Amino acid sequence: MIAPTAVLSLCADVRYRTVGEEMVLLSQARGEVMVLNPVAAFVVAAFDGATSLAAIASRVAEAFEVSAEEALADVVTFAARLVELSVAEVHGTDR
Amino acid sequence: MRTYADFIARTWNENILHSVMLELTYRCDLACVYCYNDKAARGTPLSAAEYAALLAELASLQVMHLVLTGGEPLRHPDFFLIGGEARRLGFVIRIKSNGHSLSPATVARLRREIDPFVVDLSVHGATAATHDRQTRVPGSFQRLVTNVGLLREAGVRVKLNCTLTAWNEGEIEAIFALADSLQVPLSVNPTVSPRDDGDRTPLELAPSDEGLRRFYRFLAQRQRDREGEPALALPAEDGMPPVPVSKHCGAGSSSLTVDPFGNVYPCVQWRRPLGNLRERSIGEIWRSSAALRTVREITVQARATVAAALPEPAGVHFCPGLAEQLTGSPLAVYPQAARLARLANAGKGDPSDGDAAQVGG
Repeated sequence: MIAPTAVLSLCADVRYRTVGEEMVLLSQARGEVMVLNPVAAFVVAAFDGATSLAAIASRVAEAFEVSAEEALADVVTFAARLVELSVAEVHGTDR
Repeated sequence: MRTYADFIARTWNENILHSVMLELTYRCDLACVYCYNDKAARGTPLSAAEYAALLAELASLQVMHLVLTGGEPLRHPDFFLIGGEARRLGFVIRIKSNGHSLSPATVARLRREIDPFVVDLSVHGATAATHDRQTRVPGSFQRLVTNVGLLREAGVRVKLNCTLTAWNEGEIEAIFALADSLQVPLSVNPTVSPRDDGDRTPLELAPSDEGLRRFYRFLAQRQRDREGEPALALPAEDGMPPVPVSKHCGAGSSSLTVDPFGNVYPCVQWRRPLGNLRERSIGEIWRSSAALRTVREITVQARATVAAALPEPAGVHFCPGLAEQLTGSPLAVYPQAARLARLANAGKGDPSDGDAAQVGG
């Protein structure tokens, strides 16, 4: 499980483009493409190596009008999945 | 989550520029008998600065895939400069090369400075006799085999491409076996095209009916034998997206080709001029070219034309660009497409007589 304080960045082999509100993301190492919906694209776009998952979740809650708890749970679960797929990596924590 | 095939269909339907091919140079260190390039084409090649500006604009347009081809792209004096800039701008880079000039040092530099997603290499036969006959360069087969190994050892993804010809059709099984032994995927194109200057001499090397039947039979059997194995190619990277689309192909709707002199075309096969980068930027051409609007309308019409004239999925063998080159009309079903459709579908209902798939794996 990833802590809400974790700071993530995309792995170096990942290429992406934003088309409208969607994001297309390719893991060069795995040879796999993901098409992210607007919420997921919003989250990944915030993987700047400085912003914590908790801070990203706050922005998600505000932008997409969901509860802070729901946003945090979804962001952490989604981030963990991306780490598992070697698309993102934990860069550190904001503490 | 939407699939990538859904996304590709969106790029076709909504005219989202997703992939651009750059023909960096027509110079080449091989002399393939059926090469489609117009070696006599003249003009002022785009400079490194012009390529840098083009790449920056393509990145701002959110173009994802960049194909560096030629001729032999590594023969361009600024190949590593252009490729390195493309990497910095976050493109997914595919290099189409003959692989002849690669060396351990070049491969290391390729990996370090460009980090391509895949390098496509051309194979012309399963033996040196056939391969070197087509490339007209002795030793090119051995160089290719060696350099596939070099790339793989360096961690670079490799794919082989082969055009089926009258000279190599008798060893199609062995070509697949060669690719298997090298542990790389192979795509086979059953269509030999005229040269871009209109010269039809290459068509004399087109595969025979029996060669095509043999290819389709083998491909169908191979696909049955390998059912359930993971695909080695990107989903929807070749051919039709497996979702409903309004167009026959993505030429001019999700992709463009730029020649060494800045001329822009709908695709590598469809050489209808859309503009020149020294007169209009790629973004301006994409947004407001009347010729491009016409191309998009033609691809919609082509879908209906092909569906009426050729049975699915053999329609994948029809190309509006080739139709225009051979007949003057991008909507005319040319004899080669009809022949491929007939042979590919000859065994429908009889699994031993082949299928219509174009791409092997």
